[in-house]
Amino acid sequence: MAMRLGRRSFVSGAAAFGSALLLAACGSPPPPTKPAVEVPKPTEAPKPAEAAKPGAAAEPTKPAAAGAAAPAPGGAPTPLPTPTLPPAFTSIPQPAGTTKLLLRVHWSGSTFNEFQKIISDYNANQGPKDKIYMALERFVAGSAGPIGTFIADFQAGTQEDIYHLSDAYLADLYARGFFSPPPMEIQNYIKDNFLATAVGTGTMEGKVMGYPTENQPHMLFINKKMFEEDKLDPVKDFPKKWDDIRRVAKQLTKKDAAGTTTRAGFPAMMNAGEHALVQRLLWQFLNGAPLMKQDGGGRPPFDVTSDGARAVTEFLYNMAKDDSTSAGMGEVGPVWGQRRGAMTTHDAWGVFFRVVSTGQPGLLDEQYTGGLYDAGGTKTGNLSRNYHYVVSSKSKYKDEAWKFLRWNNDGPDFRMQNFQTNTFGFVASVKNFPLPKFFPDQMKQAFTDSLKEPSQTQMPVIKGLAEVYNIIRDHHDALMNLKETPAEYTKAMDEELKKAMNAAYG
Amino acid sequence: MALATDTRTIRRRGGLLSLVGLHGLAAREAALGYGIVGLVYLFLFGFVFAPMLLAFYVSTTRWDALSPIGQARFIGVDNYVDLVTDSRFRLSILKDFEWSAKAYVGQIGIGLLLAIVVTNIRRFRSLARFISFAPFILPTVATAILFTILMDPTWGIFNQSLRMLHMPDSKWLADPGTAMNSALLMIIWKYAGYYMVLFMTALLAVPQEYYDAAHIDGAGPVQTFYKITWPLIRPAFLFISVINVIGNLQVFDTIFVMTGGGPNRATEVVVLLMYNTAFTNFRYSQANAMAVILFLIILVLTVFQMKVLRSDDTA
Amino acid sequence: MTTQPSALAAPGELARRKQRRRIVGELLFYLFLVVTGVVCLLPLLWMFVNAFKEQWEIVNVPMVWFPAYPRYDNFLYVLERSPIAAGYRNSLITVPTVTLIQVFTSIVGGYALAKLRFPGRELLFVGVLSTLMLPGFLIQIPLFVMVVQLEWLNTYQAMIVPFLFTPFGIFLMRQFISGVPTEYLDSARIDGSSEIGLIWRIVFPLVKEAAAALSIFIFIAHWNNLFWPLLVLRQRDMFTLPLALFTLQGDYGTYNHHILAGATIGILPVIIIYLFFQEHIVRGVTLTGLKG
Repeated sequence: MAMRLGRRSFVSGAAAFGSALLLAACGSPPPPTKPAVEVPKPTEAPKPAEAAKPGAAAEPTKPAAAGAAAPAPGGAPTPLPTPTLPPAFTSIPQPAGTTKLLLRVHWSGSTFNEFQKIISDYNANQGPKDKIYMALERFVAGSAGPIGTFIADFQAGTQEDIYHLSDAYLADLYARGFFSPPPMEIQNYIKDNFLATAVGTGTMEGKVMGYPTENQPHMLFINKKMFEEDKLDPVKDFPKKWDDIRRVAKQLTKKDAAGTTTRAGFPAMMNAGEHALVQRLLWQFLNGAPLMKQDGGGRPPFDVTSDGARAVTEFLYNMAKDDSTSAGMGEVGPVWGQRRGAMTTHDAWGVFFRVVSTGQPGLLDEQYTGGLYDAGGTKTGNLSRNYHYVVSSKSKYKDEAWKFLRWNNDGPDFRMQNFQTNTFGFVASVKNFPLPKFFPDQMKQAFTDSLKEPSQTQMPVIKGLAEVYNIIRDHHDALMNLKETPAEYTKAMDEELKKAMNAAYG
Repeated sequence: MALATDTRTIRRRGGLLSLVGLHGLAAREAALGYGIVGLVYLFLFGFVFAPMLLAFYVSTTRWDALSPIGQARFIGVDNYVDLVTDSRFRLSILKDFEWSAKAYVGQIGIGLLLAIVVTNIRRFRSLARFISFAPFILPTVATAILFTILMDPTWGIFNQSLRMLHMPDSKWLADPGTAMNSALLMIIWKYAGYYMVLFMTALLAVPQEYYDAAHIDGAGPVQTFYKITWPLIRPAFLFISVINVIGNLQVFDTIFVMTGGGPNRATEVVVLLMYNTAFTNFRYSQANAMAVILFLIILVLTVFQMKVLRSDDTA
Repeated sequence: MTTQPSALAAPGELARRKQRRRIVGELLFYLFLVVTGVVCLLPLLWMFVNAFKEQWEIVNVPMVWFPAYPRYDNFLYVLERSPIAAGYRNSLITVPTVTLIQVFTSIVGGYALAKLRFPGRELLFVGVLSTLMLPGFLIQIPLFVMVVQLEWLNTYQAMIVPFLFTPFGIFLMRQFISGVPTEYLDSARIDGSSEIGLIWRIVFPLVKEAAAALSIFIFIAHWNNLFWPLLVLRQRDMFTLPLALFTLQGDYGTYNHHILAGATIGILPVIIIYLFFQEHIVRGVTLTGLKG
């Protein structure tokens, strides 16, 4: 009797025992783990591939991988030669008599490595003269949301002295007293030497908060080879009018026997809120119906309901309906890089990161670049989207921070701009700066022209921008997946954007 | 006789507890009991209840976790009213239920099935257990990343394998219709072995005599399960069930890494929405209100399960 | 056991038919297990193999089965670029400590709630139980704020003190110890044992197997914990292992080979522990399965 009772209660005991172990392993304490990064989005600063050497238009020696559309030579791919690793760049130790400042960036891999070289150069040469030592770290959180760690650091007093941030949180953090503006002398220098719109994305309440780094103009890239295969002339038939884009997209879409799209005429920006916003922002601006007022005051109203705005929605929806987009094929970057898309609108960074370093060999030469236009194909222009160097309001060494930043950003050396332009193909935020060396000539010309155009807009400087990215990401995806009609999209976007702005500014 | 003398001697040392009628050995026992439990509660107050109360308070304010908490503006139940009327929050609750229901069936169903199979074979038992349990030990984040890579619609090996077998491929995480099921695939893969071990523990405790007796009486396998196995593992099942629901309703890492809530909010569960509300939208106090609501839901469901699955015999 | 004589067949044939059915049944079971085994192990094997590949070999269409040249560089890269040495050191300091402490406090706490008799015991137990239902998220940030006030940021204390007790461990040990016959304990009391001595000399040896298994699960959970250290550890030399590997990430879409290498490194200790302690789990479960 005793044994049987014992066994029965052991059953419940052991089971309970195991169950709670389960909980211990998966549940309440310890708390939900903050994960790596968001699912692959073309992030603000993607990184070059392993084998890429700085400054060179590195064409990694990849074999002719069989793309779905291209005829495959088949067989085993040719392997890379001896695998080599660029040496890890360790920072130099802190010399005596210097003050240590902390700078955190979100880069990793070779990008971080290359940037570390610049920092080490400073620490070895200029730093001791300035009595400054720069420590470089990555902030530990994916681009999905470093906010938690920013908050934690800010409260703990372990925040970096110099932040390097995207537009997403700049206004929100500024509003919460995170930053301290530079002296007027620097502000004026920035205004004089950097692109007006790039400066604009970092101006809060009339103060230029810091140096803009990199610029991301948005262009339309078409694949010359695919055009020519279909008897289209990449130059003459470059689609400017939206109807033309739609028509060409349909023509260039290829499907296999089962009806699955193997090549999308116009890949859609899926799962990418920031990029969906950029695309819409630019098109609406060009079409005479700006997405937002840029006067920088008060609660910013979004416009998705005017005719000009609805035209953009209809246009995108129609292409999805034509089944010429890449909905369901994954994200725009890999689709482009694997030759599964014929035309792409993308930020400048895509050239290096999506085409050169992870794309298929020879893809760069197949690109023909042009701008985005209004619906009628007559007006073109571009926008500025930047990162900024800003200094923490809690830093004990603000003057030193700005000293370093002057060394890093001012002319005539423009070290930061050179670094970004030549290492990974960013467009500079400095006026009249040469474009990345490895860009084909036509591409260089296209970018130069588009930046010269008087029609320039910029990313909005508003609180709650990160939430806006998420909202537009969700609805854009729904629209391109044909899960929302343009009318539903417009209504939902309007409501949610209003709500978000109320919450951010209320 | 000797025993009575001993207890009488000890009886005198009752101290404080003699006030509640405890003396001697019993008092000593109770004193230790209160002492230990007291320490436990001290810890819980400091590290669980206090933060919890703080969180409850914050949920009635408007605060973004940055300014000093004293500056949090009290707004009463506004956060809760906003949430209840918010279709996005309501949707996230539905998604949470959908996730938990499917995960429940998958994890417990397959776990139980595996356990039954493994307890009924004669050889390779420990090997089977070893292999099935392996997915559980992996960090969730690493596994989620791994599966996201495997499920890439273009080059992931799942689709490549399907194509090799001339079967249509799936869009896995990229399509709103299949995203949740794809993520569920990973979580069921990860935990099925674990539940198998739990159920095995329970199943192995059922005395073989019962099975033998049933066999003699001519009972088939289904009947045996119903009449013999199930009642005996029912208490174990209750706990497993409760823990499973509690854990799955709070799922976060898996979804965050695999889909980020998308595509198109198809996998936006409550804790994910909470995280975004707090850390992307700077609305920390509203996120706290969400957590409180979730807690109440979990509480209700736990009580419900205990009522439904409670064994009638008091073991 | 007597075989029933059947009107349908001779007794020998019936036995043979039963034997065949049993064999078929067992074969089906084995088949099911093989499938399960493959399903369980394949993703892991894929991860190991791919950790040695080049980036493009992972994302290639058609699939590249094995790397042309196995690259050890991925691991070197991970070892060089992330604070792994510090990560291992810190994890090996904090996690076993937490595990030992938690198992100890769980046994003691579970014993108190299972066997010590005092008024209000059940209610107090339910109180402990109720904390299981709290979403971890609810507690994290306030707890973080508290840790900041205590100036424990970036310290080992922050990684250990909030985890001294675990309601789960207590809950389970309590259930387990409930099954121990109370007579043992009472007779030891009468023999003059102190309460503490009771715990030490009688309860601990009895729960050895359960404690071993509990410690494995606690270890796994804490080894893989990422969120709390992420909040609380602010400097690289204090990072635990998952955090150290986390610093590699940020280019999810591009650096799959590094991520897989990093994941492999992070998983290895857990697998090793699992391989060694599996014995205890087996023994523990077998013990309860003993018949008669």
